[in-house]
Amino acid sequence: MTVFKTALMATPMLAAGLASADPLTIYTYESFVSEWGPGPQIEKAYEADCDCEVDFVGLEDGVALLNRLRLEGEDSQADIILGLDDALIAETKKLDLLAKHRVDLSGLTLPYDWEDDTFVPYDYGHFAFVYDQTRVDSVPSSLEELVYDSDLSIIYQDPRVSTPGQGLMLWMKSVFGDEAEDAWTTLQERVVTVTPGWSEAYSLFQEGESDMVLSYTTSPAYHMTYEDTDKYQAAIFSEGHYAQIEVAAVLKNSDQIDRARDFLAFLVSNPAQDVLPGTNWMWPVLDSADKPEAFEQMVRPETLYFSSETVAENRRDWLREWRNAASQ
Amino acid sequence: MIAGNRLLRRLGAGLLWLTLALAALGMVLHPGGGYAWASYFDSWLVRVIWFSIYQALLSATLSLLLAWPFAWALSQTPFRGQWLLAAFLNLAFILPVLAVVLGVVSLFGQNGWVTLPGTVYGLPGILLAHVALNLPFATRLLWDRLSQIPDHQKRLAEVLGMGLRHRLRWLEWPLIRMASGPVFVLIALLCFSSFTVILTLGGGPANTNLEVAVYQALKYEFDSRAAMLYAVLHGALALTAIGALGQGGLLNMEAAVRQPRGGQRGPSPLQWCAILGLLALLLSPYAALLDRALQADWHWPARLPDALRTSLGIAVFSSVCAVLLALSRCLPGAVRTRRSRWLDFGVLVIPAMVLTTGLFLLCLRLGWAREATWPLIIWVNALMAMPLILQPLKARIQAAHSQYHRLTRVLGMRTWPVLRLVYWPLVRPVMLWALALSAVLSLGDMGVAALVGQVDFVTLPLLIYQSMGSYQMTLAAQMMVVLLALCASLLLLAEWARGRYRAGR
Amino acid sequence: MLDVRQLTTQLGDQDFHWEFKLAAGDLMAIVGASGLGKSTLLNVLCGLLPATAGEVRWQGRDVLDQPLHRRPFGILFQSHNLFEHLSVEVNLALGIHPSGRLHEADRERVLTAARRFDIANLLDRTPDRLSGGQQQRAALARVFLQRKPVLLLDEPFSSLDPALRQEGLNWVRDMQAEQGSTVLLVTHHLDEMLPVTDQVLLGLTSEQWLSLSTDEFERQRAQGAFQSLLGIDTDASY
Repeated sequence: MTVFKTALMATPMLAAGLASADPLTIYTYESFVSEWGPGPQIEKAYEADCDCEVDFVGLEDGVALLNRLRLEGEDSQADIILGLDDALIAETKKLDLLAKHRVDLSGLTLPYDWEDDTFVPYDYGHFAFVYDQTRVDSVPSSLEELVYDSDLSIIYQDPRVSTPGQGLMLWMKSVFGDEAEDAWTTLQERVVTVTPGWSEAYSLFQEGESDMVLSYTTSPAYHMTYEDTDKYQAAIFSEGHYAQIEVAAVLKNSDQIDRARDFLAFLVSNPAQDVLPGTNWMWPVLDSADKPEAFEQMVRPETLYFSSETVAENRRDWLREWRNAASQ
Repeated sequence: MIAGNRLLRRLGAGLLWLTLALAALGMVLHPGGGYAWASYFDSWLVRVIWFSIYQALLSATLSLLLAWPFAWALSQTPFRGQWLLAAFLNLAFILPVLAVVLGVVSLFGQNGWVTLPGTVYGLPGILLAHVALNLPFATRLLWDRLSQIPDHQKRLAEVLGMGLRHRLRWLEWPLIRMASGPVFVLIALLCFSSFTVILTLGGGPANTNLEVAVYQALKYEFDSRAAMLYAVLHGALALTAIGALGQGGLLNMEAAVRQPRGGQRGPSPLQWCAILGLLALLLSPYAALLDRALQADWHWPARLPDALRTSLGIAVFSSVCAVLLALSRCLPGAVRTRRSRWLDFGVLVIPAMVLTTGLFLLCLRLGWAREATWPLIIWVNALMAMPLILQPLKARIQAAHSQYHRLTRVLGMRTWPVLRLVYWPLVRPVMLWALALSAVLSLGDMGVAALVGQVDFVTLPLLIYQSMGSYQMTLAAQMMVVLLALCASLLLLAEWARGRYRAGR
Repeated sequence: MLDVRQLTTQLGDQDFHWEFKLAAGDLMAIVGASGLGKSTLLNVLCGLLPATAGEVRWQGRDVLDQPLHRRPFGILFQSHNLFEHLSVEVNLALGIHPSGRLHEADRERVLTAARRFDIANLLDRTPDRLSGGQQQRAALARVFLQRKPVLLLDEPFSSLDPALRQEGLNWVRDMQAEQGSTVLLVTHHLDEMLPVTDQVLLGLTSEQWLSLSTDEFERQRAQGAFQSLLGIDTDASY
C-alpha cells in the first residue's frame, strides 16, 4: 500500500518537477500558516520574487518542530524549519541536521545580544499574560503576585509542545529559581487547562474560559488594530519578561539549499519584515519595517533570558519539575 | 485441503507471533536517546499510574451500578423484538469512541444541553464518556447472564409464591453478583487502556493515563525510552488484571456473542421503562452531537477528502486482513492448545497501543517510520478487530466442518471445490458481517493513527480530533456525523447482503 | 469377494479387530451393541479412519494402500449425506466429479439417476426443502452415480419411519440387482433386514466378531443364542 500511495503522490510531483523545481517545503507552527497568519502573504511575496513554489506544513507549535526533526532525521522532507526559538537552538544544533545560513545579520535589532551562524532570527517578543480589562480589576504587577497573591484563573500552553508554554517555564525558572516547583504547584490551582498550542489557548480565553492567557506583550496590538478596542491588555511584571526570538534555519539535506538560503535572506528583508508585525504580532528584527500603529503603544519590557546552552542542559529537568507540579 | 489448511493456519499463527516478537524487539531496541532510568520514576509516574487505575475502577463501578437495574428489568421475561435492542447495545460498543467523546462534550460542555457545575474536561468528562461507552456493554452481558436462568427455576419460584423482591433476592441477585465480577474487571481493563477519551477529555497533565503518557512521550518529548517504559508498565498491569480475571472471564466474553431469542409477548411496562431509559441515556450524546452539527452551515475543510480517502483505504485493507487472520485462526483441524487460545485473545489482552508502540519504535530504529505508517495502522487495526469477529466465524466453520468433512473426503473433493462449494457459501454471510464490523472498527480508530501518523497523514478521526483541539466543535460534530453515517451504511450494507443471501436461497 | 483379514484399529484406548469374507453381490448386516465398532468398521474400510494392521482385499486387490476416493466403497452416513445449501443437482453431480463441474454427458447421467430415483422434478431444490424420503433417495442417487461396487450403509434410514425404511431398503435392493453391488449395512432393525440379508456380522466384543450366513444365524438364534447380545436392539420398539 505504501508503494501504491507513494506512487500516487509522486505522479503529480514528477509532472510538476518537469516544469519547475520541487516546492520549497517549510515546517512551521500552525498559527503561522493560518489564513490570518503571516504564512500566506509571505508565500505570495516570495513566490512572485523567485518564480518557485513554497509549501508550508503547519505543526502544533514550536517545540513540536524540534520533535518532528528528531523523528524524521536525515529523511526529512523539509528544506527549512521556521518557528523554533532562541531557547531551543543549542538542542537543535546537536542533531547535526542544519546548514549554515550565510545571511548577513549585522543590521538586525534584537532584545539581547545574540548571534548565530545557523539560525536566522525573524521576529521577537516578550511573553506576557493578557487579560480583558473590562472583566479583571486587580491586575498583578509581578509574576510573584500572580502566583502567590492573585485569584485570577489562567490558561497556558504545554511546555512540551509549545514555545510560549516553554517560555513560561523558563520565565518561572528565571524568577523563582529553585522555588519554581512550589510556584507551579501554587499556580496549578487556578489553571483552567493546559493546551497544546497558542491558538487553542487564546481562543478559549476569548470565549471567556479564563481571566488571563499566556501570550505576548504585543498581542493587544491585534485587538486595537482589527477590533478597535483596547480592552485586552498585557500585564507588565516588575521582574521583567522572558524574551523569545523566533528563528529559522536550512536543513543540510535539502536538495535546494541555495534557494532555501535565499528564502532566509528574504525573511529578514523588508517585504517579509513588513508583513510579520501585522500578522504574527511580534516585533520585526528590522527597525525600518512597517508596523501597525498600535505597536507604538506597546511597552518594551525588561528582558529575561537563558542562554540556549543552559536551556539545553536543563530543559528536561525543568520539564519534569513542571510536570510533577502540574499533575498534582 | 489438509496441506492448504496447515499452511494458512501456520501463516496466521506465525504472523501473530511475529508481531508480538517484533513489538518486543522494538521495545528492547528502542531508538536510543533517553535519560538515566532512575529519572523516570518520579512522582509524575506514580500519579499517572494511580490515575490510570483510579479512573478505570471508577468508570467500571459506575457502568456496572447503572447496568444492574436495566439488565434486571430487561431479563424479567423474553419480549418480542428484544434482538433489536440487543443489536443496538452491541452497536454502541463498536461505534467510534470519538463520537461518544464529542457527544459528551456537546451534551455537557459549553453551550451544551446540560450544564455541569465545573468544566466537562477532566475527570467528569472521562467518567461520563466511559460510562456512555460501557453501560451498553455491561447491560448486554448481565442481561445475557440473567436470561440463562432456566425456565423450570422461574416456574419453581412462581409455585413457591415468590414475589419480585424475593425472586431478586434468591434467584437473580446471586447470578448478578457472580456475573458482575468478570464484567467489572473487563470494563475496568477497557477503561484502563482507554486512549481517545483521556487524550481528548483529559485537559492537561493532571489527567493522564499510561497510554496517553506513551503518546506524549513520543509526540511531545520524543523520548522513546519513556514511551517504552510506560508501554511496558501498561502491558504488565493489564496482564496482571487479566490474570485476576482468569480463563473463566475470557469464556464469558465469548458467550457474549450469543443472540437472545425473542419472546412472544411485547415488553412489560417495567421493561418499557428500562428500554426507554436506556435509549434516552445512550442516544442523548448522539442527539446533542447532531444538534451541534446542525447549528451551522456545513462547511467542509479542504483536507476532508484526503482524510476520507485515507480512512476508507485503511478500513478496506485492515478489514480484509482481519478476516483473513480470523479465518486462519479457525480453520478446521487446528489443535486448540492453551497457547493458541491465548494467541487469539493476545491482542485483546495486550493493549493495542502497547503493541503499536513496540512496532513503531522498531520502525523508528530502522528508519522506516514514514514508510511504515500505512502497513502499521492497517495491521494493528486488523489485530484489534480479529478477536471480535473470530467467534462467529469459528462457529460457522466448525459447524460446516463437523457436518461435512467426512462427506467431502469420501467424495474425494479437493481443496478448491471444498472451499468453493462447502465453506464459502456457509461462511459468506458471516464474512460480510465480519468485514463490515472490522471496517467500522478501523474507521473509528484514532489511537493507532495518532501515534504512528506523520505530519501530512490525516484520517477522518484525526481530522475531527484536530478541529476539537482548536475548539471548533461544530465542525468536529459535522465531520463526526459523516463518519457515523459511513459506519451506519457499512453495517446496513452487511445486513442487506445477509438478507439478500437468505432470500436468494 | 471382499476379504477382510485381521483388520485392526485403535480409537483412544479401545482396540478393534475384524475378520470376515463377503461374496460379491451379497448383502451383509452388521449388528451388535452400541460402541462395539459397527460404524468404525465402515469408516476404516472406506478410509476415514486409518487401519493399524491387517488387510482388506476386494477382488484380490489390496485396497488399504489406495487413497480414500479410489477405494471401491461408496458410503452413506446416518446423517449429513447431502450438502444442505447446494441444490440436489450439484449434490448428485459431486458423485460423478468431485469438482461439482459437469459436462453435458454428465448432466445427462445426473438426470437419468434422478429419474431412476424419482427426484427428477426436485433437482433445483436444496435438501432442506425435501421430505425425509426424498432426501434419502437423493443420497442414494448420489451413491448410485459414484458407481462403487461396494456400498457401506451406516444406518442411513434409521431416522425414518418403518415404511420409509422399507422403501429405502427396496431402493438398495434395486441398485444391488442393477449394478451387482455388494452391500454392508449397519442396522438396529435386524428383523426388517433379515429377509434380504445374505450374511450377518455380529459383534461380541470390539475385538471379536462372528461372521455367519443368514441361515446359520437364524438357526442358532432359534436355539436361543445371541439373546443377550441382540436383546436391546431387536426388541427395542421403534
